[in-house]
Amino acid sequence: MATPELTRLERNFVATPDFSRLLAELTERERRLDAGTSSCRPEPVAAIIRRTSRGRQVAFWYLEDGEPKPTWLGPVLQGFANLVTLNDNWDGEGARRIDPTTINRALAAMEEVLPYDASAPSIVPLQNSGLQVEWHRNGKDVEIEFDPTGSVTFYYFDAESGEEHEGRVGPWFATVKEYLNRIW
Amino acid sequence: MPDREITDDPAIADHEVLLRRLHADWVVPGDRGRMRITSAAFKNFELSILFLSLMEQQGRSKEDALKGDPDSSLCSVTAGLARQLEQGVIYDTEPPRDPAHGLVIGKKRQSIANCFAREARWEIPSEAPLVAIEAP
Repeated sequence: MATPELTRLERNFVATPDFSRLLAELTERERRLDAGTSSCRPEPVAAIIRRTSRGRQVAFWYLEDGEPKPTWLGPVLQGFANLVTLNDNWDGEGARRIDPTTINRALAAMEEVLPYDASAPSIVPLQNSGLQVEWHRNGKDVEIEFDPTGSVTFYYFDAESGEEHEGRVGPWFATVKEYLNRIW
Repeated sequence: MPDREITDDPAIADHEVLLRRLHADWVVPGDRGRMRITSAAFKNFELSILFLSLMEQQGRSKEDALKGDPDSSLCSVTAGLARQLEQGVIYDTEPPRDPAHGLVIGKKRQSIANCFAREARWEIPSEAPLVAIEAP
């Protein structure tokens, strides 16, 4: 029986070129896991999806395993491409470009938290070089903030009840998944 | 990072209107067919704003706040709201700053930034734009 970890690795994994080191690690881990399990899946191969933003093309590497792509993949990659192409002083107030490592952490998190047919979030830049992904549905808001220091925090708000929560994201995004389940 | 000192100028009245420029990426689809302002626009410790009263004294219109930046939008909050959210408000008009420039100073947790985003009033455009629906 597949473990949750194996399930995650079986899905497509998306990364910008800066993420090639981690991509290689995951490929190695997957190879090790495959060695201990019997599987009739085709061997995943590295593939590229390209998106254009602000006149520039951004390439995202992922492992193609022949499975259908999640519905959110295209909009999410476009959102991240929009961040990659922001230059220094993108806000006119001296903000630095969005940190590439932070972008790659957020990309990996999307795969962790989003069901196959989830609504795509908005992906927005922060002036501290971090980024935020956010959903606004059915009068409820969920945000995940990725700070360039590595800190990841969440925010939840229900406009009808006034219920509001914020805090650090724990292992495997368990709390965030709970709040996201309230807005689908 | 330790919290920095929060300063506030008590000479600035609570009803002062503070204009905040919105980068195009800070306006996102909401859930009622309208765009909305993301809390990301209100997270900086030192949040850059323009005092509407100073701009008016200087004979400038709100549109002047977006000069040279046609893709951006403009919203406003009040100094009173900022203080309710434990922020300080100060003038910051020394050159090379804009002569109407100011700062909203303070740590902005996500709940604070979201309160700013919910309470902010649209200035340019005057109401939240409709969410664009992509053709099939």
